[in-house]
Amino acid sequence: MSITTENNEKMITLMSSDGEEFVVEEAVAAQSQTIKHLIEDGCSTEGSIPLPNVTGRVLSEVIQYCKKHSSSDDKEEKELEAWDAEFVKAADDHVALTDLMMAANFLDIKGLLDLVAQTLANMITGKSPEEVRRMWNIKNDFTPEEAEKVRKENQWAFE
Amino acid sequence: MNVNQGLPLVIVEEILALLPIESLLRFRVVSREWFFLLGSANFQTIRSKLLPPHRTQRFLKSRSSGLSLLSFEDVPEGSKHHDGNASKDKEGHLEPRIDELYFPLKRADCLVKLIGSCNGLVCLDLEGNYDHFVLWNPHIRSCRELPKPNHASHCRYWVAYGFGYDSASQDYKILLEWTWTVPPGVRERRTQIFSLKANSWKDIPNHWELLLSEGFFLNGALHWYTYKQVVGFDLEKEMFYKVAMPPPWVDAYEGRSDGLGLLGGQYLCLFWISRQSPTCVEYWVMMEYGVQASWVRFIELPAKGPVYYERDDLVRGFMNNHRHLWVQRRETQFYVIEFRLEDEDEDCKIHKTVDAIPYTEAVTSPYTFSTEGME
Repeated sequence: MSITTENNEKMITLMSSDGEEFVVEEAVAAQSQTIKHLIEDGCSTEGSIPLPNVTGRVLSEVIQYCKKHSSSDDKEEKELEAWDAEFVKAADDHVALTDLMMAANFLDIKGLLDLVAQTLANMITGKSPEEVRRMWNIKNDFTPEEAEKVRKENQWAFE
Repeated sequence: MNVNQGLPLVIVEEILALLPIESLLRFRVVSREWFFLLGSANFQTIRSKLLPPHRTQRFLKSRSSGLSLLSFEDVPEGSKHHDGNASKDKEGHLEPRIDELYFPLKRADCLVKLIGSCNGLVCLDLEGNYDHFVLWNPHIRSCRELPKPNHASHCRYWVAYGFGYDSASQDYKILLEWTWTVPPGVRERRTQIFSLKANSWKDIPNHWELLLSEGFFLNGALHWYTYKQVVGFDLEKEMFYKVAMPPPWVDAYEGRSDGLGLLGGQYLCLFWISRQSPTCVEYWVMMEYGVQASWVRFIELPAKGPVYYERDDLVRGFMNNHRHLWVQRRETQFYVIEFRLEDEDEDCKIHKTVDAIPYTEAVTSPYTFSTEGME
């Protein structure tokens, strides 16, 4: 009986904060430096790694990214770029992207972090401060005098 | 995860570091947290690492009539912007864009001395007496006058100076060395360092004689060239040290015109009149900081005669007290081009100095360490 390469791979179970379980190949999970270190430190002996900071919805997206990036090699760079572009497009809004970025930060997946950071940066680059505050529920905690001072400084910036 | 719980600062930092300067200026008013983040040196450090290699090179230039910003557009090869480049004069030489800057403390007919620039902050000396220093960010038009150093200002003296940033203590520092002669010709010396955090000057021991020279900031240290030796000053430990010199140093050279510069903002560069061909200047670069074996002979150029840029040249940096540009032409050729800051001002002929220092646009604040800047 032949055994496929896939079956040869060691499998890891990742558990999201809301209790959803994902069974993935170790090579896929190890795209995350955080998980890689947990595996190396023997924290996956039970075969399951709990990720208390990541919900199932976000984790499934992260896994999708890791799967794609662990199966592609450098020659497919162009194709991978196109795939990345589609991937962040699918994430759609800034809330989903921010969640994804926070997960990428926690899981320490540099490629994903950079990808989402650039997407969010492109998204906000032309926005007004008020729009940015609304996006992320940031409180404007300047006193009116302080706000006026900073605004004045900005007006003076050379043309 | 919930966005409503507030965005962690490390995430904000990652995103904002990718934004152009115009957006950063606008987003300073988002919140106090963003204001202080954007004004911090740490943020500027992260941002500099992400800047593309092909980018506009900027210099600040000081004349008696005022301060201006010179921008040389650095266009990557094959870029479609190539043809639309208007910054070319009739003879085909690349010309910088010039923006006059408003500097609130500028006095009429008085040349402001440029001491150095780091993280987008510029250190200036107002009257050229090395006793009235100002930190300035031209972009946010924020100025901070610094306390006067304690030195005897009535005797003739030589001054060596430097301005840099110590990331360990997150502090900006200025180093000044005064040397003067007392009868019957004895040289005396006093060296002081200013800490922005402490907002004060203090004396430090110094066994070197830096005399009259500009310090170059690199790798957390200031560097001067004195008596055939590059001397470093570690801004964290506040100690001087010897920098490894290129191997041929000792015999290549005796009493010839020489100097130190910074190449592309990241390599120390020494130059001297070539022994083999006295009409040429040899430029040596230390590729790996502190490693003697990493000094390489970078280029040899005629000592005289203007060479001009061509339109596809990439400005890679500058050296030699910023009076030369290091330019890359067609992938593999490198040139060092004399950067003439011609000035028709009568006053400048008297001063005989036209300063130009490299500059990076940033929204860094000279008031990073307190809320002072808000008041």
